[in-house]
Parts: sequence; structure tokens; C-alpha cells
Amino acid sequence: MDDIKGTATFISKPSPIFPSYRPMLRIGQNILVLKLNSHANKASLLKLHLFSWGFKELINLDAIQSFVLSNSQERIRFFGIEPTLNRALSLAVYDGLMDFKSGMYVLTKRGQILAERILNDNDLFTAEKPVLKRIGKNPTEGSLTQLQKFWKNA
Amino acid sequence: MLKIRNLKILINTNNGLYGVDIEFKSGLNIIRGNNSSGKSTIFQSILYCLGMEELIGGRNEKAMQSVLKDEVLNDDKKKEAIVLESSILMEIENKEIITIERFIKSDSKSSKLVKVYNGALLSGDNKELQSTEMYVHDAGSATDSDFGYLAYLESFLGFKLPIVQYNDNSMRKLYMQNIFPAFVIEQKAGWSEFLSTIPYYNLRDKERRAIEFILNLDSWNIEEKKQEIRKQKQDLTEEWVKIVSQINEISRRSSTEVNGLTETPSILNELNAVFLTYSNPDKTSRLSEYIEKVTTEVKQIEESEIPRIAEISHQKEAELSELNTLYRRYNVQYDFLNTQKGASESNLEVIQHRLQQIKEELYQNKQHFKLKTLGATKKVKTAIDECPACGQYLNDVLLSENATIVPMNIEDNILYLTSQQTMAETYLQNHKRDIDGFLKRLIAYEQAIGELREKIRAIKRDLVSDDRMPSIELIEQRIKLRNRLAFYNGINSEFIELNDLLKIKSEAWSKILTAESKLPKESFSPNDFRKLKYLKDNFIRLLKNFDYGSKSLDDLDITKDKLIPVANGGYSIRFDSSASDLMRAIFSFTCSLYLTSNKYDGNHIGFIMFDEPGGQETAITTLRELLKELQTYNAQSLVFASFKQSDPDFKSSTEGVRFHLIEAAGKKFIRRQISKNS
Repeated sequence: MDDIKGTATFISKPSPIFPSYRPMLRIGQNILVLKLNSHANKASLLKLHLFSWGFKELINLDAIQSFVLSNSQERIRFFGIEPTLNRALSLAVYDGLMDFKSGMYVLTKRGQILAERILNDNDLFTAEKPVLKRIGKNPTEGSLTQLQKFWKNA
Repeated sequence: MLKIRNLKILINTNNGLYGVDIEFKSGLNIIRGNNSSGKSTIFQSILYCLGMEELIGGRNEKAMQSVLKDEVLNDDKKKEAIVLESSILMEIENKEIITIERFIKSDSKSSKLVKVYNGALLSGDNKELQSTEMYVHDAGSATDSDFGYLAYLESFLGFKLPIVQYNDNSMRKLYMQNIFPAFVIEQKAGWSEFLSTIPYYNLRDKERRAIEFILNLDSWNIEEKKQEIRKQKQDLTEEWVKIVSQINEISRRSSTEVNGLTETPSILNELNAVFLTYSNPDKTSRLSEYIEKVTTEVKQIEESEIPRIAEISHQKEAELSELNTLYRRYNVQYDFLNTQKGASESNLEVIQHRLQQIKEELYQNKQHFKLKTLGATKKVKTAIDECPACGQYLNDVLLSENATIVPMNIEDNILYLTSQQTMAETYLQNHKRDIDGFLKRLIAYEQAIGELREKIRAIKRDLVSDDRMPSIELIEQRIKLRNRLAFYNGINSEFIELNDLLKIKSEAWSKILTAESKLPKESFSPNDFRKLKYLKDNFIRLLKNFDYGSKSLDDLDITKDKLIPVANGGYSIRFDSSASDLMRAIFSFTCSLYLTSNKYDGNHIGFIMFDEPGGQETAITTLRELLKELQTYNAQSLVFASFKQSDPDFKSSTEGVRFHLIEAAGKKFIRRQISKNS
């Protein structure tokens, strides 16, 4: 046993990461939602969570669209709430792209400039932009609160 | 060189005749007038007579101002007269002189009608000129040289407009309206982007086509040849696909298999031939060999006499038990294959789902990568892996820093997913091929089992019938074999016919490929590079003269794909330039196009027209530099400007500039003419 001495070092190999754990992607998505789908570039955390779930897979985004097209009558049964969104939003706030004012996230001037660039870039969010534009400034914060109540009572 | 000599606007109203007569000189003409003095009406009238009103956004009279079709206003913007009929006459020169007449509002004359007088109707003494009537904006107006006005104008200007490929793959002539935005800058949209007023004709690379034509670039021919080859390839591929589907249809009908056939054209030779194979569960052979085999069988059977049952009953009994064994074996194998196929199919579904997931992940990862690049240019800290709150390193992941995994960086992650995707796709292909193979073998088994069943039934029937009867089984077999031979002979000759056709196409394909390999890879000739360099040098020189300041001049270039100026290797100048700098860039580009065409014998018409250059905010010095530049040209230039409605501005803008001034006699260019009665 005395022969085996010395130290061994282990270097952990980098692992692939699921894209929705990437900060800039999530910040970009939220900027887009504030720009395209919110009144006065302002939205509640609940709304951002809804869209954050929407961005995960395109079918989710379609579900939001049909919720909106049904005039908020059709019930989305579930959408995920996850802590990584909050981290992304904190980063965006510290980066001066968003502000958190009276319970709502709002785009700053800097954030709006970035939003314009994202909108004008023909390579960015090519699949999502048309759907987001169709969804428009909906669902309203009011209809989201309604939805929340519906869940509570269900 | 196009020169506009005279313009006459005539408006008949319920309050008498209104109108204006203007004479233009060679060289620089300045049309000065205050806002709403009717400058734009004159500008538009010139375009209207050239049939180019689509540049201001409409066809026929719709594009024109209301003074020409609705009502004349007085100086206080009150209605003064109602327009009954209006028309414009314009005298132009290019080697010869013609006069154009076109109506705007008229009960008897269509606004699509243009009358061309053979001479100087306005300035000359001879008022008895021959005239021809032609049409604009009708089907054929650009191509019918006898009655189409634009086709007439094309030959008047000495153009030979090329045939170009439109987005619907049709080959049609390049329209004149596609070129004119390089000569004429209109006030509203003209200053917003290079060549912005080209109407929408569904033309690929419209800016490039215009500039190639004006500078007479060789890239034109090269591009044209490339397009032709592309078209030939496309046509041949279509024909090829048609033949392929016919061959596949034959194969389906005869349960044979096609070998060596590609979905797209390929080069065929002896080593690489197309042939059909026929399979039964035990053996696969070429169709031609199979036909040979059946032919011998038919011959043998026909040569021998049909025996009585008594003679062969022993032999038949042995055969029956053999066939029964085979029948059972085939059935077991069939079930086995079917299970394998089912397993493969459900595997396929799983892979397809996974592939879809990989694709979405890859897409999102690429988005992240692009956003990081974009964010970095906007100084977003998160984008450069720096925590915006504390300045420490951020490992590009939203998980808690206590998580023990080391995240892959984004570039590697994309590579990782791409290779995953390739793997999944290969796997998918293999599975599809496997399933296809199973399917074919299953069909072969089904057929073989069916045949066995019939044969067994026939033998059984033979064995229980009268010994003195001839064997019905052998008679049936004889008929069946003969039918089969006839069927496959027919299939084979159909196939050979199509295969010969395929060989001809394959030869044509190889010819196209040879022609393609002979074309130069670069689409510009050395001469083209000289022209483009001259264009760029002049563009930069003029920008300097005009005090362009939004970007460093080193960052600007002329793109090799659209042939218009861009910044930083591909971004539109529009994004980073102030409005007045964008205007300077458009001046410079318009002028350098003329200079380059002039030096290298291009197709510029030698006529430049600017509406309100400088708009409201350009510095006086810039305007003066522009006018100074224009006065040195041989080309006729018309500049419509208000000079901010101020005399000092006008004086200092034109200081030291030689020009012909055109001004309204009163507040407006269009005035009431001396009435006919008085």
C-alpha cells in the first residue's frame, strides 16, 4: 500500500445545458414579451412566467395563442413556474434593461433599444415573432388573474 | 443622354385655363419655389410623361397631385376652380427630339394613352407633326415595341434591357421602372434608402440588377449563364422525377424492386445502371434472368405431355408433404418478420420525437449565441459573462452556483447538439431503410404463401379425383406460367423504354455539369472590379466633400451581392446614419453611379433629378457642394428645392455655382392663363 502515494485531481467535464437555463436567451425572450405582448412595456411576473413556459416548446406558444383567440375563455390547464426565470429577470434588472416598479417588470430605455434590435434582426426568434405578434397585447393582466382564480377554485 | 427640353402643363377648369410653361437647359437646373408652390407637381409631371409614376407610388392618374385632377387652390388654400381636363406635354431629346403628350383627367382620353409627336412640338415652329398613340401599364406595354410606350422609350434611350429571372422562375424583361430610381430621387421615399423607390415586381436582387445594368457589368452575363444552367438543371430534374415515378409505378404493379435509381438526376453507365429485380422468399434475381428462367420452364412443360393422375400420384403425394412443410415454414417466417417490423416502427417514432427535440434545442441555443453577440455590442454585462451586480464571472447558466455541474460553453453546446442531430438523422434513415426492406420481404412472402396455398389445393384435388383423368394441377400450372411470362415480358419492355429515356437524360445532365464547371466561380470579371473600385472611390470622395460624419469612411463599402453601400461588412447604412447623413450618402451614390457609368461607357441616361435634397435640415454647405458637383457634369440635372424659403439661404447655397434658375412668376408655378375669350 505504501507504494500508492500522491494526489489525484479530477476535472469535471463540461456538460451540455438545456437552453432555457441560458441567461441571455431568457433575457431576450422576456424583452420580446415586454415589447410585443404588454401594455406600456409593462408586465407582471405571472405573465412573464406564462410566456416563459410558452418559449419552452412551440406547442406551448400555440396553446397561449388559442387561449387568446378564444377571448381568454379556453382554459390553459397548466403552465410551469420555475426559479430560473427570476434569476434571468434579476440579471436583466441589474443590467439596466428592465426595472421592477410597483410589482411590474418594465423595459428601460436601454431595454427598448435592445428590443428594437431584436425585432429588426431577421435571424432572431424567427419562429416565435410571428406567433407573438398574432397574440398581441394579450392576454391582459386581468384575464390572467381570472385564470389564476379559476385554478384556485378548480 | 436624355435631356428634358420643355414642359407644358395644361389644366382646363370651370374658371378658365390654368397651366405653366417651363424651359430646361443643359447642365444644372434649379427649380426654386416655396412649399406648396407646385414644385412637386412639376417633378411628378416629368415622371408621368416618362411613364415612371410608379416611382411615386401609383399607376396612371392615381399617383398625381390633386391640382392636376381635382381642384385648383388659391394662395389661401381655398378652392379656386374645378379641374375639367388636364394634360402634360414634354419635349425630350436623345439624338432626336420627340414630344410626349399624356392626359391625366379627361373624359375622352385614357390616362393610359400616350401620344408621341415626332419632333419639337413645344419649341419648334412646325406644329403639324406626325404622332403615334401608345399605351402604358397595359399588358405588353414594356414588350410590344409597336404600341407599348415603355418599349418605345427603351429604344428611344438606346437601351437593350435584359431578360431576368423573377421569383416565380419566369424569365421576363427587366423593367425600366427598376432602373430609374438610380437617376431620380423622389422626396418622400427616395431619401430613405438606396434605390428605395423600385416598385415591387417580385424580382430577385432588384438593386443589383439595376446597378449591373447601369454600369454594364460582365457579372450580368455570368449571372445570366448561371441562371440559365440553374433553369436547365431544374427542368431536367423535373423530367427525371417524372420518369422515376413512372418506373416506381411499374415496380409497384409487378412487385419487383428498382435498383440503382436516384431521385435526382445522376450520371448512368454500365457500372451504375438501373435495373429491376424479382424476389421470392429464397432468392432475388434480375428481372431479365427471372424471365429467362420462366421461359425455359414454359418450354419444358409444353414439350412434355400431360400425364394421367395414376401415373403421378406417388410423386404428387411426396410433393404435397414437401409443400406443406414449406407452407408452414413460410408462415412462421412471415410472423417473425412482422414482429420485427413492428419493433422497428415504434423505434422510429421514438427517434423522430427525439430529433424534433434536438432541433428545437439547437434552434434555441443558436438564438442564445446570437443574443450574446448582440448584447455584447450593446454593453450588456450578462452577455459577456460578467455579473451585472457584482462584476464577478458568470458561468453562462441560470442554475444556482452551488450546482456542481460545469456547463458547456455555448459554442461547444451547439456543436454537441449538431452532432447529436446528425446521429439521430442517420439512425432515422437506417430505420426507414430497414422498415422498407421488411415491407418488401413481407410482400414477397405473402405472394409465395398465396401461390403455395393454391398449388397445395390443386394437388389435393388431383389426388382425390379419378385416376384416369389428366392432372388438372399441371394444366393449371401450364396456364399460369404462360400468363406470368406474358406479364413480365410486358413489364420488362415498358421498363426498357423508360430506361432508355433515362439514359438520354443522364447524358444531358452530364453535359450541363460540364458547362457549369467551366463557369468562373467569382461572378465578377477583372473589368467589373475596376468599375466597382471606381464607384467606391468616388462614393467615398463625395461623402468627404459633403461632410458625412455618422461613420468612419473606412467602415463603408459597396456590397458584392446587392451592389449598394453598406457599413461594417453588411449592415445597412440607414441604421447608423442620421437622416441628413443618409441623404448625403444617397447624393454621393447617385453621383458616383453617373461618374462610373460615364467613365466606363455604361448605360446611365445622363439625367439626374433630385426632389428637395437636403429636406429641412441639411447644412447649406452640403447643398452647395452637391450643386457644385452637379454643375461639372455633362448630364442634365434638375434640382427641386425650397432653400428653406429664405433668400440668404438660396444665395449662399448657390454661391459660385453655374446654373439655370427656374422660378414661379408669382407664388405658384401653375397659374391662370390668359383666357381664351379675352
